[in-house]
Order: sequence, then structure tokens, then C-alpha cells
Amino acid sequence: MKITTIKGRLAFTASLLISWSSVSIANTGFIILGDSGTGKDPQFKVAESIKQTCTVNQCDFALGLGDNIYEVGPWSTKDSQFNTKFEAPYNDLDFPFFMVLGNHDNSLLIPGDGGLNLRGYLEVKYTKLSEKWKMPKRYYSFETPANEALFIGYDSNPPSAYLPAIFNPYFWPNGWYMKSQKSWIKKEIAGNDSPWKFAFAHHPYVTNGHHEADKLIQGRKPYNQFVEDTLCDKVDFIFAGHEHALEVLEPVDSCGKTVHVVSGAAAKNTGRYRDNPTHSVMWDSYDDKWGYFHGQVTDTTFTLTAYVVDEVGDTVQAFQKVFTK
Amino acid sequence: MKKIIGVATIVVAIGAVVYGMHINNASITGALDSEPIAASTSTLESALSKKEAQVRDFEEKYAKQLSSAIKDVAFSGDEPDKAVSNLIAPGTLTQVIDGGFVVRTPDISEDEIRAAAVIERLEYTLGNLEPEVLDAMMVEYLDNPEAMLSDMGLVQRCNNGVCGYQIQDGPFLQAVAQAGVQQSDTILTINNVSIGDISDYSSFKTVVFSNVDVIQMAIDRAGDVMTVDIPVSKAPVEGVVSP
Repeated sequence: MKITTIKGRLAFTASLLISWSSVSIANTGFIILGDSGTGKDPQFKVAESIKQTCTVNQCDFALGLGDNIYEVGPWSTKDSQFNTKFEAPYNDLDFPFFMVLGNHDNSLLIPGDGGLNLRGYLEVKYTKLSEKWKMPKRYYSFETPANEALFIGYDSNPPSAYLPAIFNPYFWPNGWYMKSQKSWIKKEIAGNDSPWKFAFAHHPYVTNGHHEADKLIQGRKPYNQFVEDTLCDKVDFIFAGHEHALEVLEPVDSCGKTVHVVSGAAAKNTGRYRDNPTHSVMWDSYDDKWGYFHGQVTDTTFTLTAYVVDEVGDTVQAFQKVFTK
Repeated sequence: MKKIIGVATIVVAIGAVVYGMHINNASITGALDSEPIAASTSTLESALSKKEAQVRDFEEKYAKQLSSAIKDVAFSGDEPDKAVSNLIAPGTLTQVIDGGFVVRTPDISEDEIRAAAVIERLEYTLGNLEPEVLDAMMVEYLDNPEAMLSDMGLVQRCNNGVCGYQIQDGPFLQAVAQAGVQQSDTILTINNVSIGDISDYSSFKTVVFSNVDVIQMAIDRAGDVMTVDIPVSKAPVEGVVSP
């Protein structure tokens, strides 16, 4: 009888610990948004929607998937665009934004050409001037406090630029910069035991959008090869933007178990299907609306929810799926 | 003095032209990306075709360089993966930020990335020296012409009314050191033309391309004037800087 009581108390205590652990520690929520930096009304409407979402969901941080400063990127770390296209729209969101570079952030001759990688350093350096903007390097990783997830932010621009750096071998699609990034990320992934691994960047590996048909000077091989060698089947999800739409795509044979999510509609909604899209879809939205995703991760589950925002700011939860380990 | 001002002036001019292009194209892209409901299909196609036309113009202007670059395995991505596996990954810096996030970054500073990029670009430019290639390097400094000289590690110095560029530790020195150039040397002439007589970018290009295989420079080294030849034949373009 006594033993039973002790066992019962132990069981009760254990259940409390498990309950406390799952609710207070091993549980992280975050926003996934891309192509956000216009400073125009849709960006503010999406920001307001995120604010509402975060009143009823856990939001510990956001992932910013590039094209942070339209149309040509910043001109200095004190450029007022940092305020009008980031700080002001997200003023009411009190959590850090982990950012990566997009093609518009690296413009040289044509907005979005991605031809001036050195412009990206301004957004890295802005990290020290902002309480919210986190881009500690062009590529980096971070772990959630309870270590249930590893996030790898990487720079997809050199192999994906419309005007690749033909005069600068360092930034060639398969030059030293990309090789160095590849070797570092491989090391990061290999040495990490987090249950969930997420990668985020600007350019999607796969999308049913028209950008997958972009005729790049260097072709798609350098970027595809980089992703396949570095991330495919090693991370659970790749979050990307670039296509101004929302997509959750099934894994593809060339990339193992990895699920592909496109979230590029945080300020623009001009995404459009390419001819004869081929990738199997869990869900997508190519409507004339905007949107973003919310992620909730525990040791064993990842819940992905899509929110679509219309022109008056009304928000609809359009998709939700729980992925398990 | 005149030269540095001349080059800077031309770079600013290039910058102004390119900035103008930015503004014009920003409106194109804005129409393309921001107002899909108002824009008709034909408007979108028109805007897209303009953007594609600009990329096409770029490809035509730099067809020779593109063809050369694409043949290089490091550009095209045809390189075997063993080259990567042999690469030593950068070290890692770790910090815990507000909220308890453990952030890890490669142990490469942004300044080191810039320096490596500048060195490789300069080596590429010297190894493939043609007017279009030189133009392309200049264009990258459209927003801050003084940054070009600073990036190169060149500082204006005048002594008894004679001005030149003093070479400090930096990308330019690393690119030309094999020719015998040393830190603190001051460039007085390029291909026998005094720095002060080079009034603008056009004349600078003319001077640079007046020799075929080398750029000859007169330098002042602690009061001694000597001549060095900088070869402009094909140079190794990769692996100059270890990551």
C-alpha cells in the first residue's frame, strides 16, 4: 500500500515535470515571412495580422527570408529604409527577426539582379544598430533555448543571381565563398543533435512558381548542387521566399525527406505558377492575397500553420498540418 | 592629385548613371511586383520583357567574359565534391543572445569577406584586363567611389607638389607584391604617364591599355624612384585567399 502510494506520488510528480517541461521549455513558436521590405500598406497589414496571431499563439522569433529592403537594398547602415521597411512595420512585434539576404538586397544594375554581393554587408552590420534585426553573418545558425530545433540561415544569392559575379571569382556560384559556406554548414549540421533541423534562405530549391523557370546565366545546377550536397535529407524543412506566394510542397526524390516551404508573400502577392508545375503540393496559395506561416515546435512535433491576409487586412487560417518525429 | 580626383569624378559619374538606372528600373519592378491587380497582363509582360532585355544587354556586352567564366568549373558547379570535402571549414563563434538563443557564426568577419572579394576581383581584373572588365570593377563602387581606393589600400600622398598613391597593406599590395612592389611604395606614374596628368577615367583607361602585357609603374620607395612591371596575363583566379 505504502509502496503503491510512493509509486503514485512519483508518477504524479513525473507527470507534472513532463507537463511543465512540454509547456514551458520544449516548445517554441515562430513566424516565417519573406519578401517583406516594401514599406507599403500590405506589409503593414501583414504585420498587424502577425500581431493578432501572436496574441493567441506563441511567437518567440521570426524568420525573415530575404528581400528585406526593396527594391535595390540599402545604401548605408543609416539608410532610412531600415526604418520605413522594417522597424516601423514591425514596431509592435516584440521578438527578434532572424534575417537572410535576398536578391533585391544585393542589387547592382537592375533591382533584384543580385549582382552586388558586397552590398549585403550593410544588412549584416545593421544587426548592431537594431534591437530586432538579427543577421549576425551572411550565413549562421541558432538553436532554440530548449534545443528542440536548429535553424540554419544560409546565403543563396551567389549561385542564384540574375547577374552572377562573373568578375569576382570569390562570389562565383561555386567559388570560395560558397565552398566555405558549404563546408561550415555541413560541419554545423553534423555536430548538432537537435531533434528538428530547419534551413532558411531566400531562393527555394523547388517551387511551382515561375521563378523555377528563371533562365539563369549559370543555370540552376550550382544552387541545386549546393542544396543537395549540404541540406537535402539532412534538414527536415527548407523555408524560402522569392516566389510571392505561399507553398508547402511534398519532399522530392532529389532532396530526400526534406519538406519545402515557400513564404514570399509578406508584402507582395505577384507569385504565379510556371507552365506545367510538377511538384506535389500539400497546400498552396497563389491568390491575390498576402500571408505568412506560423511554426510551433516541440521535441516530437512541428505544427505548420498558414495565414492568408486580404486587401482589407482580414486574416484566414488557411492550412495547418502537424508533422511528427 | 588630379588623377585621384579625375578617377573619383568618373566613378561618381558612372555611379550617377547607374543610380539613374536604378530609379528607372525600380519603377519597372514596382509595377511588376506591387500592383498586380491594377496591371494588365500585357503591362506585366512588357515590364518583364524590359527586365529581361536589360539582362540580355548585359549578357551581350560581357559575352566574352561570361563564356570564359562559365567554362570554369568553379563558376558552373561541375567541380567534384572532393574539392569541398578537402576544404577546412571556418571556425565557429558562439554567443547567447536575449531570449536564450544560441547563435553560431562562421569565424570570418565581414571585413575579411570584403577583403577576400576585393583581392580576387582585382586579381581577376589584372588577369583579364580589358576595358569592359575595368568598367565592371568601377561600377561596383557606384555608391561610394572613395571606398574603391580604400578597399584597394591606396592612399593619396603628396610630396613637394608631386602626388601619387601610397600603397598600404591591402588587396592591391597582395595582388602586385610578386612584381616587387612593397608596402609604403608610392605610385608616381602609370605606363610613363604621371599620376597628375591623368585627368579622368577615360584617360586612365587609355593609359592603362597603352601597354599590352604589363602595366609599368614608377614608384617612390623612401626617396628612391624605381620601375616595376605588373603583368596582366592570365592569373590564377581562385584559391588566392584561404577561407
